[in-house]
This record gives sequence, structure tokens and C-alpha cells, in this order.
Amino acid sequence: MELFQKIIKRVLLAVFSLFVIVTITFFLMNLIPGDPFMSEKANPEAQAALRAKYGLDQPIYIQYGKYLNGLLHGDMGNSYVLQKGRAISTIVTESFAVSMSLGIRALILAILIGVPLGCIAGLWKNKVPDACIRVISAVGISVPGYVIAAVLMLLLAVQLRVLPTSYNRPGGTVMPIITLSLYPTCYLIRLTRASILEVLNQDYLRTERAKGMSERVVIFVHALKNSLIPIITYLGPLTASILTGGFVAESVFNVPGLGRYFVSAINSRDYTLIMGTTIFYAALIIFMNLVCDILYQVVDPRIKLD
Amino acid sequence: MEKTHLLEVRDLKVSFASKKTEVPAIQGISYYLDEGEVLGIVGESGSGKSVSSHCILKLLPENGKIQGGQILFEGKDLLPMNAKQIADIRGNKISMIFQDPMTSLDPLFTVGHQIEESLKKHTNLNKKQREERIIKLLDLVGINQPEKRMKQYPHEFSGGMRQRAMIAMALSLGPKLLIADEPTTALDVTIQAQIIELLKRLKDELHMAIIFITHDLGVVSDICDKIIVMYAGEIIESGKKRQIFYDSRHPYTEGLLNSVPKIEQSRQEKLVPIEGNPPDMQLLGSECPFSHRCGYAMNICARQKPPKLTVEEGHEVSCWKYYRERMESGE
Ligand SMILES: Nc1ncnc2c1ncn2[C@@H]1O[C@H](COP(=O)(O)OP(=O)(O)OP(=O)(O)O)[C@@H](O)[C@H]1O
Ligand SMILES: [Mg+2]
Repeated sequence: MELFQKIIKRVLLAVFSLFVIVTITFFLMNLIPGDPFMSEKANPEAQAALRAKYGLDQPIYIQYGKYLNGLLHGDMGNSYVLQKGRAISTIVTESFAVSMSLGIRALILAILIGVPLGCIAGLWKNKVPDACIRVISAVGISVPGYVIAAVLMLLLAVQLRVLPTSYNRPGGTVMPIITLSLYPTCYLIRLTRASILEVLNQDYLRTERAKGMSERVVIFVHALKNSLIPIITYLGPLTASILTGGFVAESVFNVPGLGRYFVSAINSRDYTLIMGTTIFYAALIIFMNLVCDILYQVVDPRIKLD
Repeated sequence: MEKTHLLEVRDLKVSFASKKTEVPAIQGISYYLDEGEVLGIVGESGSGKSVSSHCILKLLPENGKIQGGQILFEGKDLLPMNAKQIADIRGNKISMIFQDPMTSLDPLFTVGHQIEESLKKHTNLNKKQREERIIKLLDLVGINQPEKRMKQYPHEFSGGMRQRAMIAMALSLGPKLLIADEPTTALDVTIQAQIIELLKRLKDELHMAIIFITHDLGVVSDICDKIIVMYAGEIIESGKKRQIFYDSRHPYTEGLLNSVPKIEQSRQEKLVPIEGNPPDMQLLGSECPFSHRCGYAMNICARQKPPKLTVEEGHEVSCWKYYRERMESGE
């Protein structure tokens, strides 16, 4: 029951954070020069009419009040530009479904490869496997996503022709998933390695050995469990960012996901869509962190939510 | 035939790999211990107390290397044993308590689980019997409500309670030898006294031998039968408790004794710390390692290591000053 109360507290806190984010985004967005209808430049009257129709000619605090009021009733408005007239909630849900299906696969790939490789590197510190793994992870972390995407595209789709360039064809998800998972995989390798090395020096492992425990138990039960703790902390934000889609991967491979909408919404000043994607992104991060904190508490008895 | 001791260390040498060279840490020490005896190992920080005793269970850190010597336990050399053989002895016949109870227990497992692990490894007891044994053990070391406490995590224990739990863990299989590496250093004075009382009581009840490591002679005065004084990886004086406390011959031992607070000490009598610092082991040559700090140092001390001399049965010292005194008295 105590846990339940704490979760309620955290949720209230989360709602407050969301409110702050909504407010800041709303006003920042209005500071960007231009508005959703500036592209209809030929006809100033038409622009003015559109602004009036959507209430953009009113003072900003009134617009803000109206937006908040809508939000409280679960209404995020309709898209002004990109998918004119469609409800933001529909656009976000649809595109998120696409991002999520890619993201979950990328996440699983990153964890399945990153954590074991990190362990191997840590356990064989300064030996050959460690050296190889470290080189790979250093490259993976420092090369930007669009370079990876371009290289993959050139190599696999254009030169070797083993994979399609377009997302919609069979096998089209492979390259976006690799692009999405590369950075987190390499980051997880580093994090796991550092964490393992830290734990290997701990006194309690010596205690375990002094009791006659086998190296298997010392490493796979005690060392591994302890080194998972910092990894769990990272998984929260990682999951959120992977799920909402890498902007790069989605743009390069033409994936109709949330990340792509986030970028194009800003470019076209699609106010309601900017707000919608931002709120969704923030809520997801907050939610993931909450999940991680709870998970954290399950693993680490010292941590209490507060 | 020679008598087999419970534990006999012969000419043990240990070094650590540093960037380029091997730095010596233990430079050939020998001692022995019989059943039920308590041996105190004293010396300043860095003198090699922990390293030498961790060797007994082959618990050296990765960069440490045993360069030579033998460690005979019940007549068998432990050093050539493989991982499995040594694991059967660890926690079973020889067990260990460490310096810092705050970091020596795994934070993610209950105290009961951590005791149970070694029962599981070394006995055939079933779950229920193991639990009963744990409760008994916790009770034995003075932890109240053992049924409840065994289900708690280390962070729910105070420092003194954790050390008690460590002791319970170390005693769980009734070891022949308990190595206690400064078990009270991290604790405050009242708890210190309680833990030492506890060890004394348990020693009599369970009839085990103890190696008690400390840098404070005052702490071991009560519990020990024999004392080894270490300096810079060597034993510079060793003897029965009485011989060390009332008849010490080495200026360093003298210094250690003077830095122990005594109850009957008057206020004017100040505690005298030993001046200077231990030598850098890497730079140590053929001199007496204490010569740099010794108030009695003579020419020869800076040139040559003193020989080991027997003062009387069981009491040995390595010091040129004592050598000269012996020569002068014409023995
Ligand atoms: N992991 C290590 N790497 C390198 N040198 C080490 C290592 N552990 C110990 N040493 C060296 O071995 C020597 C003896 O250390 P040891 O820990 O046995 O001292 P100690 O007498 O137990 O001191 P303390 O009272 O501080 O516990 C020291 O000179 C130390 O520098
Ligand atoms: Mg020590």
C-alpha cells in the first residue's frame, strides 16, 4: 500500500512537470518567427482569415488558456498544415505505433548485444576481446546517425542490393532498426563494462570468495546483479528516446513515425502538432522513468521511492 | 618427526605488479599457530598484515603474486591447490572477517541469504535445517530477533550489527581457524569492545584458532596468546603476549606500545606516536627498514639487515641494538 501511495505522489508530480513543459513549449513555439499559414503568401487576406478562424489573432494568453482548456478535456486540436484537419491524437497514435514497432525491436537488439558484450569486455579487461569490443563501441558512439544511415543505404541497398531502400518493402525495417540501435548498443557496452569493472573491485565479492563460493556464483549472481543497477537507470530515457523514433533514421528511411512528424511539424509551424508530439514525448519519458524507478526498487532494496 | 601445526607459514614472499616493476610487499615471513591459539598480527598501515593473511585463503587481488614460500594447513600446502580444493577450505575450515563491515556484505541480498550460501555450499542440510542454523548463529553473535533480522538487507543493519552478521557467517561451519582482519577498526570504541568480548567468548566455546590483525596493540592485549609485529613486510619481533608487552626488544615494538593509551596512565604521561612514515618498499635496499625512523640507529643499521635472534624460547627479534646488547653482556 505504501508503494501505491508513493506511485500516486509520483504521478501527481509528473502531471505538474507536464504542465510546466506544455507552458514552456507553447510560449517558445510562438516566439519562432512565422506561423502555420505563412506559406499561403500570395493572399494576405486568406492568411488573415485562416488566423482568425483558428484563433491565432487573439492575444497569446487567451490562446494559451484555450489550449489548456482543450487539453483538460482530452482535446489536442487538429493539425493545421501537415495533415490538415486530422485530430492530433490520431496522428500521434498512428505514427507512434510505427515508431514503437521499430523501436521495441531496436531496443531488444541493443540490450541483447550491448549488455553481454559489455560484460565480456569488463570480465576480460585489457585482453583481446575487450580491445576489440572497445574499438567497436568507440566507433559506434562517435559516428553520427545520419552517416550510419547513409553508409548502410549505400552498402546494403545500392551496392549489394540485398535490402530495399524503402521502408514499405519486405526487409525495409532492417536498416532503420540497425541505425536506431547502434548508438544505444555501443552506449550500453560502455556502461555495462564500466559498471562491471566498478563492481569487480567491491569488498563483498571478496567476502563471497572467502566463503568458498565458486567464481560462477561470484560473477554471475553477485557481480552481475550489482552491475545491472546503473544500466536500469539508463534504460528509462533510452526506451523513451528509441520509442519516439530517431529523427534521423525515420527521415532517411522515410518511416512515417513520430520522430519524422516531430521534425516536420516544427519546420511547417504546425502548432498543434508541435504541442502534441512534445507532450507525448515528455509524457513518455516521465512514464519510462517512473517504470524504471519501480524496477530499480525491485532490484535494489536500498532504494525507496520518494 | 616435526610436529604438525594447525597453520604454518614458511618464508612467504608476495609482490605486487606496478607499472614497470614488481614491488615487494611481504619479504619472507614465517610463523605458526596451533589449535585454539590466538595470534595477534600488529603493525602500522601498509606493513603487510592484510596481504599476508589474505594469502592464506589465496584471496590476493589480481596484481598480487606469491613469489615463494609455503602455507601449510594441517600439514598440507595450500598454495599449490586448485580453485576447487581451496574453495572447499574457504569458509569451511578457515574463514575470514574483513576490516570494513559496511562494504563487505552484498547490498542486494538479505543477510540470511548470504549466510545460507555457505551452508548450502559446504553442508547437506535442507532448507529448514539451514534456516534453523542461521537463526542459531545470529542468536549466538548477539543479534536480537534473528528470525526477523535474517530477512533484512545489509543496509538495515548498523555497522556493529553487520560485523556481528559477518562473524556469524564466518562461524557458520565451525571453522578451525578464523582470520579476523581488523574486525573492529571501522567501529566505534564501545562496539569494538563488544565485538572483542564476543570473539573471546566464541573462541572458548568453539575452540578455534584465531589470527587477529590490528594496528592497535591495545586491542589485542586481551585476546591474544602470541603476537607478531610486522614492519615493511617483515616480522621484526614475535613472541608470547607477555614477552611482547613486558619484555619487548625492538624499538619499533616499543614505539607501538607507547602509542597505546593505558587506563592507569597519568595525565602528564603523553602518548608518544612513532615519528616518520614507513619506507617506500620500492626503494628499500639492504638496510634495516626501520633504521630511518629509529632513535637508536647505528652505522650498521643503514648498511645491513639485522639477523633474527632468539631472546628466549618463543621470543625472536631482528635488531642490531639487541645484537649489540647481547655482545656486550658477553653471551
Ligand atoms: N592491490 C594492491 N596493489 C598494489 N599494492 C598493494 C595492493 N594491496 C596492498 N598493496 C601493498 O602491500 C603492502 C601491504 O598492504 P596491506 O594491505 O597488507 O597493509 P596492512 O598492514 O593491512 O595495512 P592496513 O592497516 O592499512 O590495513 C602495502 O605496501 C601496499 O601498498
Ligand atoms: Mg589491512
